Amino acid sequence: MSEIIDVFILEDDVPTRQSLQRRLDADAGFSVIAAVGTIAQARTALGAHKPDVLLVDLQLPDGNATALIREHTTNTPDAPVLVISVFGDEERVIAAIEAGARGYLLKDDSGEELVDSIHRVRNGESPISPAIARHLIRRYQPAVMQKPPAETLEHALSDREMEVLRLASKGLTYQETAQALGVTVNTVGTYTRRIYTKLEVSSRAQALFEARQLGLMGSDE
Amino acid sequence: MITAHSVWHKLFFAALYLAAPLVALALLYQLDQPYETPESYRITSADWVVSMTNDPPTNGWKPLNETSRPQRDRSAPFTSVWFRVQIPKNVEKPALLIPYPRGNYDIRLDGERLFVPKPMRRPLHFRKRPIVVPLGTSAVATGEPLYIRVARQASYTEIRYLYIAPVDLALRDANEQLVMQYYAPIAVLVLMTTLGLAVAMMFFLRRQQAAYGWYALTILLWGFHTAHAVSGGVLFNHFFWYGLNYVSLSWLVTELYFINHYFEIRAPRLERYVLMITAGLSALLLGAATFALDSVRFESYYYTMATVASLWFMALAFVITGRYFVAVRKRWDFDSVSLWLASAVVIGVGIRDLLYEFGVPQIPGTVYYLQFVAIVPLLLFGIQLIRRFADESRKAEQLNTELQRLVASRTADLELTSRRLTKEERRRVLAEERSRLMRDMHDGLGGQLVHALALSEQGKDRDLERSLRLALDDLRLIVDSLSPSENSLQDLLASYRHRVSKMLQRSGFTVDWMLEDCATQIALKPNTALSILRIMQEAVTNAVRHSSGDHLLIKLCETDEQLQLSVTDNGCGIEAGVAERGLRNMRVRADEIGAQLDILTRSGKTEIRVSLPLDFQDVTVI
Repeated sequence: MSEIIDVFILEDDVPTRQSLQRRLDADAGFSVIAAVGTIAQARTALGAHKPDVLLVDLQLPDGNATALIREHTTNTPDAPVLVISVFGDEERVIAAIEAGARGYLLKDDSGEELVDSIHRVRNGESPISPAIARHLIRRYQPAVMQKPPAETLEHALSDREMEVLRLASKGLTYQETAQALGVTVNTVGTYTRRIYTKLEVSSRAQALFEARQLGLMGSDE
Repeated sequence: MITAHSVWHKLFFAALYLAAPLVALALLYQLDQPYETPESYRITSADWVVSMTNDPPTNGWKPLNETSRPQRDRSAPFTSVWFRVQIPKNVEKPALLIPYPRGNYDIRLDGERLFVPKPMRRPLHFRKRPIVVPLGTSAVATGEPLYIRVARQASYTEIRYLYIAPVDLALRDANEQLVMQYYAPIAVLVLMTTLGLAVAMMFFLRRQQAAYGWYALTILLWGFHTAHAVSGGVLFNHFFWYGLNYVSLSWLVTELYFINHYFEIRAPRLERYVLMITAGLSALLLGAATFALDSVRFESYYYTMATVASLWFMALAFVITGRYFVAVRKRWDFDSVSLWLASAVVIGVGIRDLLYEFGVPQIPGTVYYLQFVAIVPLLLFGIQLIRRFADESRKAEQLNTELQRLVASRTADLELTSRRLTKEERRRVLAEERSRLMRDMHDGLGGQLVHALALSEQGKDRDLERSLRLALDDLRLIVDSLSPSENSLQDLLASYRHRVSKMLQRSGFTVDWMLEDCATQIALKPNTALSILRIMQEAVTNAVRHSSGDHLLIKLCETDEQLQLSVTDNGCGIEAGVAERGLRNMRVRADEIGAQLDILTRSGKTEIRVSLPLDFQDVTVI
């Protein structure tokens, strides 16, 4: 961790933004390269900067940031996006994850937690709250899946990944999950990253499939 | 329900029932004309010889008188008698008239066949239409005798039934006799067969009504008998046919069934015996008739059985009439009176036929009447059966329509009620939920925010931060408990566990979670779940803040229909005063949901335990 990590913040509430910035600046390993309050500003700033990590609030004065997240992760998959949220388990966070976000932060997390979370995400460990895990289980359970497009099946979860989700849905931490499965914390992290990737890719495939069904896209796509 | 339609309907059938027997008698009276050929033309003298030859025999002739009458030759396949008659000279344009033929006939004059017979073999043809043969004047003038061969299966015949009369008179009588002897039985046959088939059809539509079946069976049996006679009856020997005469009287059994059924008299044993005796007698009678032609013994059996059968049926007729009489007094309506009237007419006609048979000279008519009149009650039964069938079908249809209407209206009612109930239920649940939310905000968040405000005024930043964190934690619990997808205790606990784990870890606590699966599967009402979680949160917060321990045991189990949640720490026990506010909070919350809160301290460990009785009205197991 000798490199300084460049962080980009999109948050409309000024005190919260400042608080986040302050907490990160307190750690020598981080540098906040831009902190903006609207999607428009974010687009401009992202044109000029190449951050390593993005912290993004979803509800902004000029709209929802989900589209921005999708755009960004498609163009720059190496720079993970973390959603900043109060509760961490709303539908919106799930939608953001499907759009490519790699996790979420709680707005009241301490500086320590904040730093820890960003390091983890950069290591490939994505946090999975029970609500998200439940959502994913429902989504991938074969019995509930109705006429999946072929793409979705390709991204079906493995038994191990499903097991990780099940434990997460019961509120177990990474450590507890690793213990229960008899693997290292890093391995659990790998599983969760794979789950997130599959979710993102399959949701993109699903969106494509649905768009095609609706005839919104040409068949030559 | 009396409508104009039903009144007319009733009147029509009443008229029909009352008129039927009277019309039948009137018709008989009108149609049955007496012979107009004077008795002086009757053949009174003839010679005879019993012979099977196809031409008139040359010898063996005997004069016909009281002591010399043709007898049956039992070695021959049937009875065949040749008669030789001298044609009277005083009759102008003479013709031979056989008004009441019952067999096969061959008539020769001067070597010429005047009436060509059907083949002379068993079973013999059975001619029923009157025969008139003009004799021709030239033949009469030569004084040639007339040869008449009468061939019958059962018995001999009397030449005295025959006439030699002027051809005009003979033809007129023959035509008049044709009606009673040929067309009337055919009309009855058609009527009976139609009725029989109609009722048979109804029987097959409604099998549980045996009366329909018996009616159809007996009436068709009788129809068959009549058809056999009218068609020339070459299927069986004549004994068998006469036997069928008796057997077809089994319609009396049907009549008994019908009356019992109609007047709702329950007599299953009587019905069974009557049926058994009638069937037995019929079988014996027809059995004897089958062999009677060739065997003197069976012929005498046949006559015995015939007598027994006639007595039996006569007795049956009297029993039925008695039943009628009793039943009609019980129910005095057109239907029953008309049936009784029809029955009385049948009895009267039966008595007339008996007197006719005995040759009482004052009795008018030329034939037995019972064969025509007995159809009347059967006809009435038939009409009533059909009427009843139609009535019941209509009633069933009405009931069906009524039922459908009822079902439709009930369904509409139910829908309305259910819609109203649903609306009310929704409104009630919504109101409940809203007031719960209000209370939660009030008690928890409101208090905490006011507390925070006070702290901020005093400039106590650390306390302020803590107070706000508590408020945020409480809000998280409220949000969790409201989430539509997190409705089991398991889901709520998972969210809490996920959240609190990091904090506990930071505070240097290790935690053991012992959550029984069956207990976590219980779905509590949102406010109950929220209270449980709040108690838990309070207990955990207290432990972390005040116990100065480093280990927590959080346990959830279900015992004795109680949900038990406990938080145990390994610290120094409850310090009086310090955690008082938290404990009070926990007690209030436990009381609200009807749970019991226990605080157990033992060897340095403090256990806070909530026991919630599981009231299954509030709880669903998922």
